[in-house]
Amino acid sequence: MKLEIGEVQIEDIKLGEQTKIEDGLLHVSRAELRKLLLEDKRLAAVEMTVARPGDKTRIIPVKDVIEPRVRLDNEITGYPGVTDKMGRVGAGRTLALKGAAVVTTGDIVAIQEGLIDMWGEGAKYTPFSQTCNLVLTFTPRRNLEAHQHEEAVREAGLKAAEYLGKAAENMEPDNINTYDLPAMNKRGEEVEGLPRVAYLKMLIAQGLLHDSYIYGIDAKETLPTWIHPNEILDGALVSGNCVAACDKITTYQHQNNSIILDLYDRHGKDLNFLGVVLTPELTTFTGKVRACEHATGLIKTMGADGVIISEEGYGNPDSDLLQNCKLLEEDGIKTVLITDECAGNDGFSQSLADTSSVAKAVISTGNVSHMVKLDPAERVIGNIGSLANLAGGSGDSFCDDGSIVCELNAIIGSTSEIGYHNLTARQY
Amino acid sequence: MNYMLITNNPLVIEKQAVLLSNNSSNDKQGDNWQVCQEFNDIWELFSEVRSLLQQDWKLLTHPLPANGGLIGSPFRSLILAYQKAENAGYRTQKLLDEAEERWRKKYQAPTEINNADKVKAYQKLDLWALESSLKELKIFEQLGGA
Amino acid sequence: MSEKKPRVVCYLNQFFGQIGGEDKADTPPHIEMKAVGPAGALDTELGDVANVVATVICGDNYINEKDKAYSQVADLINSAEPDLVVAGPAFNAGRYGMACAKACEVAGEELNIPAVSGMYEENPGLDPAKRYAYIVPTPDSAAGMRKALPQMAGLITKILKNEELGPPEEEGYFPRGQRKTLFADKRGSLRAVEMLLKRLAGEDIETELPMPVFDEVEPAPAVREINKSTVALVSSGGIVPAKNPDSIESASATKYGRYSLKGHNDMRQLDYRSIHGGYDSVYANEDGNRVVPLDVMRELEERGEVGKLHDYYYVTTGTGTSVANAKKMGEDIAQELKDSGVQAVILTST
Repeated sequence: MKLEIGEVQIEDIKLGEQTKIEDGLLHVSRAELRKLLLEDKRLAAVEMTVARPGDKTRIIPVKDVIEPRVRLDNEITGYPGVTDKMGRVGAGRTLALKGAAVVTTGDIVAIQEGLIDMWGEGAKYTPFSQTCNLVLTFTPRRNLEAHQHEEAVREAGLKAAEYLGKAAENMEPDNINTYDLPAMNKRGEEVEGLPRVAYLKMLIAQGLLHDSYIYGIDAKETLPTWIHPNEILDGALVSGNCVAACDKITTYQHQNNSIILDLYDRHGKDLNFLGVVLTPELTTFTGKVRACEHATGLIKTMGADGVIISEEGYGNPDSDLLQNCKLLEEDGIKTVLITDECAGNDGFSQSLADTSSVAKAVISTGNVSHMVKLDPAERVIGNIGSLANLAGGSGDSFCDDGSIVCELNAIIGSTSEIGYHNLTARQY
Repeated sequence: MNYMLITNNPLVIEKQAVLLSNNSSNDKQGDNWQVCQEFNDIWELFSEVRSLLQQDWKLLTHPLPANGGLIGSPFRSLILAYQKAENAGYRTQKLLDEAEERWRKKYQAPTEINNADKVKAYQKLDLWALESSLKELKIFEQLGGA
Repeated sequence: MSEKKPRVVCYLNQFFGQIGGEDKADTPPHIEMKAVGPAGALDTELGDVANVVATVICGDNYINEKDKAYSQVADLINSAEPDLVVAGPAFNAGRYGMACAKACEVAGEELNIPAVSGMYEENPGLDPAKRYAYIVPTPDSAAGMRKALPQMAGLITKILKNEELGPPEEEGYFPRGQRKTLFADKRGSLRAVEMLLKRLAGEDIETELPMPVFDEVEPAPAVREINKSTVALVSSGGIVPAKNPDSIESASATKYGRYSLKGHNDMRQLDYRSIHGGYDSVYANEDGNRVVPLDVMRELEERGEVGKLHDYYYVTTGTGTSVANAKKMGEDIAQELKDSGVQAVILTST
């Protein structure tokens, strides 16, 4: 399967009359976009704001982040199973508006979090301080039930990203990245003798606001699935995870999964990238056994020599992470785990909620309880009241000068367990 | 199968009839649900679960929630099943101890939060996680047993 | 106005504090407004960096056994207005190590100032102390003093100069179990790919998250017929014959005792006392059944609810016991019990 992602560089976004891209500037028609999004009667209103890198702007609470894309060779232009009909994605040419992002906000429930700071100390901890963000703040219809609310906002964000992506339909990309991974029996000498490496991607699947969707199916209702990495890069995965800002995988990060990109980089050079297995993190022990046994079973069937395992979340998913590791290592398959830690504000608590001596190779993406001090913002997009509900925050979070002290838990993407970011923790 | 729902979440207690009727499956098996809800705080809840684990009940759901932010929530709902087996609860007892340890580290003070929005949010998130667990159990029963 | 030199207060036990040996281990804490014993040598090492302005000296038994010892030591250390506390070095002396841990805790919890110490890796005081102090690894005997002091001085210098201390393996202190969050030069996914490639090539890698290793002991299966079984009592509560004939230590025990219960149905019939240094023994001495429940076991025997109470009980003191010693004692006791046909044990701790 061969996917070409053409990058159209976006330097700025401007709200106006017409939607078009000119000289790196994305113009967005307020009226048209509003009309499109409010077709869904579950949404009563949408506010649109642009947040640029360097603006003293804080966005909170963030529900999802999506990269605007358009598929040129596929009937399916949206997100299959979610905003568009069913079908396969991951082949042909897709254009991405690089440097731009759609950010959805709006409370579904307090503590859903988190925040994106476009400047200062906070900006260091989130990748989305570097993108030009079209922020959509949704007001639901009165008394809208929570499941409906979440779905409406999720779909709206995706539709907006698709709408913006279409503006690039007829443009020449600034550069093209090719992702070509043929079927196993069609790979040639370039992979001979190279170690066979797979990627086991764990997805949160634990109820409303903690869900993930694979081609629109709730991940908790799936058996672990062997999937082509291109499908993930091209929109087969959508995030329904709205809690724990630090390690939730936003749709943007699924679309730009850094482990997939880094493995592709080395494919045919020092490894043979076999593919990806998606596995749900369930709440029950039986579910965990089912998922771990089946996921690792697939990896073994693939004939992997080594596996990278990424997690989403913290707490009970740590048990799945270590069980997956154990089942593979026992079979002689070498693993590297990527996980964040919850080592307390002072860093002295035990990092993971479960331990296993077989986990000998772990990449840490940082301590979620590490405290940071964020400067006062000149502008807050979303709901300023949400600041009071930040993780690690309390009445004392607010300093006299308006700055905020909170845990990394509250910052979008700060401890991303797909290793999207370069934060880490070290033993002292 | 004898099930027990242990909870200190007022929202779950309020909706227990609906939750359990939606999920008690197989008439053939004659599932029995008990709901244990008289807890002053989460420590009493953990204590009761521990006690049950030592009497041949086993935890069906993991004692920890899905992310760091929820550890320390004053509400937790867990599902147990009665199953006579040697050392059935050993590994899960350890996980329970670990969970309680984490809760204590997060909350050295009584588990009350002064922010009404936050309280409501914790209740809802616990309810939705429980719904998810009950959904999983239904799937397993349809597959022939958890 | 010239800058004042930082003030260091040292904590020593009765031996290094030049009071006496084991016979002086019950000495209450006191303070001398000068550097005593090795504190003097440390002062010399520190040169212009700091002054050792006082030494607090306390008997190893006193600080480990008396409830009020902690606050007494805290008051004394505080009275000298230190900027940093040095405890020991304690090498492998268990009670001294635990005492140093208390001094470091004073520094961290009461005074909010840094602490430095030196210990051998197996010293039971290492674990409780490292949270509050930077501890230099030392050999297991005082022969290591000459090397330990300059190493400690090196750390103290950096700390007092507000220099950021590097990771433990670079700076020469035991990892304290603290996770520090910082930015790496490469993103996590890339580090993961590189780590995996190294593993696949058979190369050594360094994990970013060392897993704590817990010595897991799977419990034995439940006793099926307790009414037909022989049950033994084993205690870490330190109740022994009054003369302590086996000289079991009050803390950091290295031995256990085995004493007969034959013909008795109440601990008060025996001239026994608690030698445990870790709890107030008034109530245990009043009624030893509270720690070794002989009276209840005899009742259960009589009612036929247990088969038989084993004639002997085993005891040690469980405070500041090193893991290695506890393990060895456990294995030995278990073997003896097994050889004697015991099927179940009631373990009492305090």
